[in-house]
Amino acid sequence: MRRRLIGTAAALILGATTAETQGLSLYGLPGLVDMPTARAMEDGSLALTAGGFGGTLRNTLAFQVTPRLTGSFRYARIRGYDFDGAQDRFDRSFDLQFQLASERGPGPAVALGLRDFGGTGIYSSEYLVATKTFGSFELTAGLGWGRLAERDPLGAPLGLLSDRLATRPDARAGGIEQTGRLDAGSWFRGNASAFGGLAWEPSERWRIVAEYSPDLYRLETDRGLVDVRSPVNLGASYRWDNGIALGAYAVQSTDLGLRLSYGLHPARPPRPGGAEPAPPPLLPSPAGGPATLMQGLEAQGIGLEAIEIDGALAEVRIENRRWPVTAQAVGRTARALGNTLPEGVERLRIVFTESGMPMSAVSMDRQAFAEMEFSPEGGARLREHVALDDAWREFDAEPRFTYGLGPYAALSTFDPDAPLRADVGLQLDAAHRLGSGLSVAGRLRQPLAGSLDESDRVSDSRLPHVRSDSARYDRSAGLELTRLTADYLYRPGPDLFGRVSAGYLERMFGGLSAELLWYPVEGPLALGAEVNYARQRGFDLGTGFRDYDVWTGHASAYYDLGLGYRAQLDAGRYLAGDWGATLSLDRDFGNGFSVGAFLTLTDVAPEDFGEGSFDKGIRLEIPVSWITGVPTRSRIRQTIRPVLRDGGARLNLGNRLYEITRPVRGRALTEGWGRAYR
Amino acid sequence: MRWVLTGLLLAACGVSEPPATEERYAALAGAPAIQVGAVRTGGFALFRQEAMRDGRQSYLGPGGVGLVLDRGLIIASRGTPDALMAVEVEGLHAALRQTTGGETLRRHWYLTGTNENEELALTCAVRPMGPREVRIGGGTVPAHLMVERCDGVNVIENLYWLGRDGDILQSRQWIGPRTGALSTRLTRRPAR
Repeated sequence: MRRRLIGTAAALILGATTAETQGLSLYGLPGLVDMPTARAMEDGSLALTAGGFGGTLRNTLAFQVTPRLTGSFRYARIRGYDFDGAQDRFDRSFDLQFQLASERGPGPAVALGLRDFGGTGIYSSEYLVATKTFGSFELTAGLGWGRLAERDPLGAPLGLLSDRLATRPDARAGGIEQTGRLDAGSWFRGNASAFGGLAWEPSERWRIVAEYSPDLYRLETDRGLVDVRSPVNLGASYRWDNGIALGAYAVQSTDLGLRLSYGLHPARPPRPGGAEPAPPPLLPSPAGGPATLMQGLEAQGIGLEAIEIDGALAEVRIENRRWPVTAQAVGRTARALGNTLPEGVERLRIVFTESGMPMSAVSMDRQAFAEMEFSPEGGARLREHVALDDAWREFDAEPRFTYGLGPYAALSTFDPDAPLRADVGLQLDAAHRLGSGLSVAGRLRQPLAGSLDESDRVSDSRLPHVRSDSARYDRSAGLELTRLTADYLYRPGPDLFGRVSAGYLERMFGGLSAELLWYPVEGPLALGAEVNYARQRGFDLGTGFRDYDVWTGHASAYYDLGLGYRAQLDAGRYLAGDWGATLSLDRDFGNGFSVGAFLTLTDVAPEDFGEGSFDKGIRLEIPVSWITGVPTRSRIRQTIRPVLRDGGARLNLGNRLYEITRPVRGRALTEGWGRAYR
Repeated sequence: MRWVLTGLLLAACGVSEPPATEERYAALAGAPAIQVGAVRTGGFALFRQEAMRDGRQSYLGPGGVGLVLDRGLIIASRGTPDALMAVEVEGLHAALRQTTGGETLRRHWYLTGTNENEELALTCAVRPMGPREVRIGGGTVPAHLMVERCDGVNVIENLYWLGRDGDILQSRQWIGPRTGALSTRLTRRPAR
């Protein structure tokens, strides 16, 4: 029993931030050179790969979604692919690989994979693959369809089941208008070819691979871009401890291939113990008064909104400005209270507030908090001891003005003229809280350097241009009023939150927005509804408006599926007036790092939607403290959409209630208590 | 391309709030202190006592590093590369004060990247190493050296120089895989 315990502990404590990327292919997924293997990455790990040869470059972000499911997004460039070599092709594709059997038993690992199942179809292929390890050798054999069945086809295996499955419809026939649709009708259809290979890992750092590839690169050879002289590809890769792996390959006997991969694991930040100073120790007896308490809390990045002492109970209303983990904010607050409040106070009630609106309360015995400080699993024991409840009764919050001046960076991705454009500049944020829940807040931006204004893309959208004119906003290039709103946050009742916003709601739209959210303190389920009247803003990002206006809104359900998975369903009317629903799935690593994907289907016909056929994307949320170890509530959010079109677009509101309440409701409140005494 | 005042932007990036930590450390001038060293880097600093509660002493070092000692044994660390949340050393206090030593169990709890406390358990043997001298406050104090050898995922060796009354005058104690060992030494002889 103890051995197992020690083993687990060692993996978590000693485990590096990084994740294994040595066994990846030029496609950035577990594989040899171009061929896949049936291996899976470590559950939860992320791998970034840039790999290619000749004029082909593939940039892939791969994520081990579950222990068996691997997903990836790829952005590839094939030089001279279009217009007889005059133009490069920038190709976006998604892959999925599902491990049907792991290698635990005597049999091999077996996996089923879909490459480029929803992109432009250049890499469109499917495979069934088995991999077995023999000591330091790893043997792989598989059957491939589509692109992986170009050399020596063995016939159509599924043709035995049905004549319909004997031939493969051309997934690429529809051209760019058809992209983004699931090519399910062609999966595993038509001829299949065999592929296979061998990997040898003579040491932990080296991996030598050889493979037989049935991929003739027909699309590329037809254009004279690739010369395939041999079905055999060879390679070697080396990995360092910092998560980087570098590989060199001989591809088709004609090209030199290179691969650079970097892997990280969201559950293992570089500094898990945090870089913040030790908390002030609990004193044997309290000293000081209310002023000391306020100073003590301020020094911890905690604002004291109000304090009320009633006999043995002290209730404080605080605003957490620093701590990304709520339990740690509880700990720091309880320390300051324990060190200053008179000895007669036996019970502490800490109410978290946001913009003067009470959110949730954490109550505990003062004595118990002190006693568990250095006990084994002290934080987990404290969690068992505390009571969590909804603190919905409003209070009078003092007016307050806050502002911040800092740098910002804005990105634009996947424009075929320039795949990555960026601006950097200065941003001024200011907020004036007028009273409980009522505030006025705005943001001004001045771009200083960058290339966002260089885009001369003109939208060809058949829908109202609610997002596709973004380049026109970028070209304004001057001082911009990013947003300016009056917001009222309130608590209509227990477990209920309300919000009304008016003004310049986001960069492209202004108007009115009203929202209601029901979210029980510890519950996994939250339900919300939002109604907005939005009018499109002028391209100069000043105070003017354009003619387009729309009523838009959604009913939303948020559900914590357990084990870190979170689902969200939003159904309603989108900005272009289209009706439909968005399904999102995120995996949350218990430290604020999350990786997710979403897709939106609306009543816009794919041909009207344009390239991509429907809105979809992946999103990453990384707390700045995950990277630096220094506590801050700032987070980096990045949504990667292969194409940004007008269908399925929602308002970009900065203060949706679920996002505001999430840090102090549900899992974010009930977990993370191991950090309470940090 | 827009190239305006990039220098201004860089200046804005460099703005950070002044550390209150150094003030907190400075305010402890004159408090009882111990000398603490990092075995890996060879650096030393004075750690000043910030509080004593239930026999446990909380010390603060420069840069916000905190150590909590129970009769000379480190039972928690904060601000070190490993956050050692708690330590249980069953039988260690007794074994150190027996001439023959003894077998003990050492359990450490570390803060993980997913905000849990993960346990590391080690089985240890404490053995006497004979008399030594310890330099404290400009003089030498007679001591005897005890060694605690632990096996688990890590093989660690902690050293304790104990005075005649059983006080730990000087030590080398392993904190965790990222931090390595720290040395501690009293800055004045224990008063009896």
